[in-house]
Amino acid sequence: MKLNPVYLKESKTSSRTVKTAVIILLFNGVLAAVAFLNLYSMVESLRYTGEVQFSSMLELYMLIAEFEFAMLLLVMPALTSGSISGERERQTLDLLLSTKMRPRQIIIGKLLSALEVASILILSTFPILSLVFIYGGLKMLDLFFLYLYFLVTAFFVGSIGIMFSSVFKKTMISTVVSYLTEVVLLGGSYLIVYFAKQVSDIHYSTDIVAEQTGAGGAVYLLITNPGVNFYSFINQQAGNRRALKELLGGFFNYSENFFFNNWVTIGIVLQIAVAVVCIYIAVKAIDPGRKRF
Amino acid sequence: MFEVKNLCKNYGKFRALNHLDMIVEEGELFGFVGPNGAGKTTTLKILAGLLKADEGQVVIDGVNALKQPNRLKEAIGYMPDFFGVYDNLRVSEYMEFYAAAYGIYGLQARTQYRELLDMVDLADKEDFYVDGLSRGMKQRLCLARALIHNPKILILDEPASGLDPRTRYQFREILKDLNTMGKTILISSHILSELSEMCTDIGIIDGGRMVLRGSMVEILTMVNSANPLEIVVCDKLDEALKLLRRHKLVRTISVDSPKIVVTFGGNQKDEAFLLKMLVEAGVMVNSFVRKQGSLETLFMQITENKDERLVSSNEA
Repeated sequence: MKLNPVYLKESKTSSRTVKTAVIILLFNGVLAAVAFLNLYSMVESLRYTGEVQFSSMLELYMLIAEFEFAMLLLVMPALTSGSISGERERQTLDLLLSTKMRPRQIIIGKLLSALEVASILILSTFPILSLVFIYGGLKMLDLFFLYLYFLVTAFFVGSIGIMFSSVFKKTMISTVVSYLTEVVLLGGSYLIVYFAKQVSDIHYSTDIVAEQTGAGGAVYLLITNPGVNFYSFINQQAGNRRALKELLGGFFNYSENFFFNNWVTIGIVLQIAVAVVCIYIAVKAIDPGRKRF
Repeated sequence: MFEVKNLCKNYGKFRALNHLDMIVEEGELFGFVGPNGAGKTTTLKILAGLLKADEGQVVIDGVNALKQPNRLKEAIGYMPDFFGVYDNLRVSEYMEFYAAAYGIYGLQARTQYRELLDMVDLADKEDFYVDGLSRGMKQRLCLARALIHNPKILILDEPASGLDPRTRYQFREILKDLNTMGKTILISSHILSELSEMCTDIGIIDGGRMVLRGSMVEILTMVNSANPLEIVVCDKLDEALKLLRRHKLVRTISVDSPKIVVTFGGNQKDEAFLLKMLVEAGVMVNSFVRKQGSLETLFMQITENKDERLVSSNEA
């Protein structure tokens, strides 16, 4: 089978460095520490109360998954933000572009190799996530969906990293901008909604009933927030379908509609769409056929 | 053969290529020289498909290859002035990777890269890591890489920079062999003495235009014809001077006894007649030579009094 040459080369070289092994070790080390500390506290609690809280295992599952999500957001820019700028710095990008490979193949090869590492990372944490099966509460299929969700997240964040790596010449700048973008994506929409709520609270005096105050339409901005989306997803998996309502209810008068009922799906579709746009920009940025100036 | 027609490229307001025309015939080893910022690298990058030209054509086998990038990349092997090697990749894997980049896989790829490694004398280094090779070896490996898809035209940008004389010599011999095998080679270099030894043809670019182009023999003859004749006589200096003053092709004469330096406007045949005339007049001529010029001299004459050109970051 003729696989993408860049992907094959990247897989080969990354498997020869200790970097990948160290990332897997740290990733699993942190998750295992979180899981076992939590499990220890549960067992200690059991010794005093004599009561088994089955929901604690689901909470543990959610906690590990949230940690994993956060670490994936940290790892993916590190894997991708130097992929193209690194080729430029090594002066190998021109060599690649002088071959018959298209810019699209180069970008996809780089992204695939980053997703491969992400995939290994995610799969390697499944034994820790499987602690939930001690008492049950989740199905194997749920773990599979979590795996798919993480892959989409890795694809989304990885595409942003590759885009900046193609646009900026220096890996340092590309890495900083990638992390800043993540911060804006996670905190930006939340801050806007928060301020919209504050402004609204000031505008309406106390003689107006509480239901009239709120962030209004600005709350829909949160659909672009990967953190809110994951929070909603993981709570749904654990059976808490009211988590989104509880989160958004603090900002406005929550009432069910198409967007709130399909929050996770819309969020995932948006992330995939943004990732595709990022890949397009990355391809254009390295295309020698693109006219400069 | 390939032909560059009316090639233009601007970097903002700076015109790097100004309607450049150039023809390189099949089997030529063409030296492409010019001062910094003259447009050499820009031209080579356009030929390698790494830069888009604003105007013009690159015609290969009767087709404008700029409109068909794949055709251009199939026909051209490009070796820039840097090595561009990867860490943690063996020589064989490096070659296999670039073979795959040209759509060559499996046995065909292995056969091809082994032949090339043998040609550049790296056959025994197949299992070595690329980043562990010496500078000269890396350079030969890059040449092999540029040839992996068996291109008709090889483009080399400053290939000998930073190499010791022995490695440069080895590299030059490989290029001569490739040329004998029928490859058309376009080589840009600042080491003009090497180009004059190796190239069959030469083109000098300045200000984005081709200012001189011809075969090496023609150009060196042209350079030499502008140089004075140096005649050393054993006796009858006055007789020799009398004859020289009367000759219609002699322009100036200066005497540094026993050497006479003559600015002579004739060709090689006229030189022979002048020598015959002196000998027949009984002047004992010890030495009769045209002072040899060099490509450096010509290059300096053509490009003198030019300020250092603005070089855009893209061309640097």
